[in-house]
Amino acid sequence: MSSLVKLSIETALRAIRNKEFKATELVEAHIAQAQNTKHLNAYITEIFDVALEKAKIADENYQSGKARKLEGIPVGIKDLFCTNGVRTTAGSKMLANFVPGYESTVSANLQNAGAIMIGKTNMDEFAMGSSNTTSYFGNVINPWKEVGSNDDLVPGGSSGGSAAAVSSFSAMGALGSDTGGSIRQPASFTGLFGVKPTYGRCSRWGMIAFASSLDQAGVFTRNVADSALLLEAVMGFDEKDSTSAKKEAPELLSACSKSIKGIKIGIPYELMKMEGISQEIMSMWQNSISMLKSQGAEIVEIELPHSKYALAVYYVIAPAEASSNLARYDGVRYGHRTEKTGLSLDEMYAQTRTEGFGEEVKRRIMLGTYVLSSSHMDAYYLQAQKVRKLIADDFKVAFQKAQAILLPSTPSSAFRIGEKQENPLTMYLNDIFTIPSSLAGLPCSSVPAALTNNGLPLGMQIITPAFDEYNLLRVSSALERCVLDINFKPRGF
Amino acid sequence: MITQEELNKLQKLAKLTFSQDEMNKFSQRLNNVLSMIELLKEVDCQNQQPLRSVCDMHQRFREDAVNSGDNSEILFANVPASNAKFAKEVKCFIVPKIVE
Amino acid sequence: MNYILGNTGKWEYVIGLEIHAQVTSKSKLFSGASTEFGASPNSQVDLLDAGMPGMLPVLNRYCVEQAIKSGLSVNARINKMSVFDRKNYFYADLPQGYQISQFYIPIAQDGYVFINTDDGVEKKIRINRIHLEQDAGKSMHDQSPNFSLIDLNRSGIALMEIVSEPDISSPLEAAEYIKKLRSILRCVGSCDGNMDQGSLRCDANVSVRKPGEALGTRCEIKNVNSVKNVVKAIEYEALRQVEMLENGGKIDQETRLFDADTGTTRTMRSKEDANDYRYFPDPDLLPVHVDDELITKLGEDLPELPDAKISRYVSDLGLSQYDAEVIVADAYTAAYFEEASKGVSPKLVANWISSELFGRLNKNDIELAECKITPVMINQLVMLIEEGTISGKIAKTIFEEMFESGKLPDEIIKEKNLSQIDDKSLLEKVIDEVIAANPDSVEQYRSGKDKLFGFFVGQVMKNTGGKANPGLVNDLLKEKL
Repeated sequence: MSSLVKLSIETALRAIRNKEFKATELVEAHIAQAQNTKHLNAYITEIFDVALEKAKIADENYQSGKARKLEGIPVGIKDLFCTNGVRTTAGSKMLANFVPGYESTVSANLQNAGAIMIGKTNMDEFAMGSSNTTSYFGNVINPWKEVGSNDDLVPGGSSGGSAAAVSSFSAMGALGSDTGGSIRQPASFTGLFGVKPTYGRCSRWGMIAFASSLDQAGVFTRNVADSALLLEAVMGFDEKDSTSAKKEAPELLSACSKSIKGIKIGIPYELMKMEGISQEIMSMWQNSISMLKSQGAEIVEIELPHSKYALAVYYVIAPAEASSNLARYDGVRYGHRTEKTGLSLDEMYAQTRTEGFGEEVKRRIMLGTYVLSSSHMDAYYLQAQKVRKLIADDFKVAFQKAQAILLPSTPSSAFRIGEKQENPLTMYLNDIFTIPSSLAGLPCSSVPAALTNNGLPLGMQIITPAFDEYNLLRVSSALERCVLDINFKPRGF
Repeated sequence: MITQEELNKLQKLAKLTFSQDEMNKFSQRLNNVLSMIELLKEVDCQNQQPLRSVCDMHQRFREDAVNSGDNSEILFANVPASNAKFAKEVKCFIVPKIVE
Repeated sequence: MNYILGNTGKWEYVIGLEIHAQVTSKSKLFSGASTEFGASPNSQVDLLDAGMPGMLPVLNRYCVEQAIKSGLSVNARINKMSVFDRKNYFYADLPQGYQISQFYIPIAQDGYVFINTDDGVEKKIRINRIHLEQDAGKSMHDQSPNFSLIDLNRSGIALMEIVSEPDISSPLEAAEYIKKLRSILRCVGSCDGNMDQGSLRCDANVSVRKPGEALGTRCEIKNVNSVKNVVKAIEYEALRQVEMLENGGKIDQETRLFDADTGTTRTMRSKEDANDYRYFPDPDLLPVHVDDELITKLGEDLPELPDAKISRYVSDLGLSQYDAEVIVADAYTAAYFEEASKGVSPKLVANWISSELFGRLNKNDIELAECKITPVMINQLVMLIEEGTISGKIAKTIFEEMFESGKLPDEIIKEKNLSQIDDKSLLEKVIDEVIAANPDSVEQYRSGKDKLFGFFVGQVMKNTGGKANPGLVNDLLKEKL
């Protein structure tokens, strides 16, 4: 494995500018690494040839002094984002051969800043899942393994491919998406820094919709400063998206070296009493509190009284929106269409959709259809939107006392592939810590903060008020500084 | 909790078909989730407004101008292979015959 | 009130109309594709209109303003906050698998218009709501035996759905309501009201009941494409329901299609019973807020509405109610009239337009805009009549020629030598000739047959090619006879 794949984005950019190596070499090294780690199944579509062409152009840009902010940096792009002329599948049989003739705003932003896409990363089908075991293109395997075991572990989901790619060094950063925790949870499971900006910061134009009021693009990197660079490129107002916030994308890099002296960090102590939190998670939490305190932060108690309803709210609203967003997949204009002939229109729809969607997707569509149906609308959907407002208001109150909130990203470390399959509820509990901030549309991150006794990574989640990505990265970096002694690198890499 | 009749209605609305076996397995799993979301009914939301906008924004307006031309190349690029030739010839999307 | 006379007595019509009016915007409600009529299939389809993955809607300001103007012009209350909801169902012409509409909180509510009933009385028809929604694409079933073809040009075009309360009590009232609404929308400029191009469509909800009894089950008749057909469809449907009920049957609540060729309605086979649309606020859009300032400004900018114009024409300009209604029915006609009546009697002009001109337009099946007669020509013609240069009879001849050739009255008069003859001596000469040629009649008249006076007038007119000044002829004849 070339040493070039171990660099941070910041370091690599500096090195190329200093002519220590070329962009082409950087990209070649990452392509080689992708080939070496093929068994992880991080990529659905590899774009190596085009990547090399783009690398050549990157080197020309450096030569002529026209290098852009992320010139030559190899990245993975979750297969949820439409890429012009490049197959985009959303991890589904339904779109297995779909080649869009348009580019999503966020992937365009990233590439217009000079980043080079080396592949479309694997994901749970239509972003529904937290293990990357529902992809039509096979499971993604976590590069991390428990000490003394060779069992395959999940990388988390739904952005499992992006997480696996970055943590196995075949990409320096990756674009992912987070609806209920799909960036933070895999980041925790793979020892990466993952960040989801405020809802509305990143355009959703060209992003295949799952739950429109929750979906947000975000990034995975191996350190906080690298995310600052990626986010600065990716965030920004897009007039083609009605839910896009008309706010300037802030400068973020300087936040990564700022002290947190005097910053008030809020802890939702009642969540510590929740069932099922392992001792290791609790230790990490307590430890993180002390570490931040030692950096000068002030610890305050906050309440999030309605967060116990968050899972229920999410599993009403997200499937409801998804059931409607996925109605367009009917085999008429694109995507899978059943080969069976002699069917009526309705039969063709039913056959196509039954063939094209996986089990979890079908389950959520049915659930969503149920909670929206006229006899259940008020009791479920409308009620959920009201409770959602209560949850969002909880945060507003909490942020009157604190500038950031600290809690775990996940209730456990990465589990074995195949575990937790029987009862979907067990799978849904993976998101228990991440869902409340998703419902409130707040910016949040997962910072690698501890290793379990089995040598697996765990992440701590930080949440800040809407549009305050600056302090999000500021506090995240502070926590990162506290655990510099821990090597968040999977064994063998 | 969820009846067979409701499941049949849902299948029709969602345009999904399950075999009886799949339906049995599925309805059990669905019921697990449904009992979880029952929790919502605990919350007193009598005088509560629903969340209408995640980040307190209003709908923006767009000026009335034509900025999109003939996109048929992009639109027809992914039509099903079985009728692609015909579809591109008549420049229409093809579906099984509809009788009104 | 009009009744259906059944075997068991009188039945009342209970009719509510849902009108879909296409907004006069250049681009669609949520996308920037063109709305122009008549384009080749799928050439005006934005990626959003085709439901491509990842596409998002952005709201067209002009459409919202037109909906507000329309609401104000029917006395409706404008909701300062309204919401777009998704109406979820599967159909070939609905690429997203849902239509973006407004279900819970529409842009306007609780309006009304006045129409004239069959008995000549003014009646208020309440309007429940006006909301904005996307139009669907078009499906064509005749090009192939095994397939239907889908054209999405129309998909996403802005429609205003205008829903009346079931206040309409006869097919003719329905026609009046549609015509009134159409003239208001055309006046305000929010819709061109063109039923044959489909920019104004009507669905009728029809039920019947015995006077004083509860409402009956209604059926919805879809997409009736002309005022005439609305009348026919309602008549047929109401009769069908009466017959069914009188024979002990029950009306199924259903959607029916009107067949213009046979004049009948039939069940729509494709629509499933009671589709649950699962309306919920579209999460890709945000609540629409409009402020008092905007509403006031749009209200102030409204042109003079048809009813107000009719009143003004009748009270200030002295037009008959009938003439005023004919002229105001159309903004174009009203403008035409105003130009044609500059400096001359509006009453006379109105009369020429409503009877002579419109009579000829209908007979030749052409629109006013296509006609060769310009407002200036009518203006001149009426001026000549008022000055006494031509008689009413000659004017009619000139009018005929104007219609055919598009020439000005002056030109026609010169060409055809139609000037009124006022020359006393000339007329006297002609009269003398007539008297000389008809001695018996002269004697009869002089011995008391007064009625023969008309005969002499006729003869003088004949000999002068109708150009003799009628007043002078009368006086001179009286003298000479």
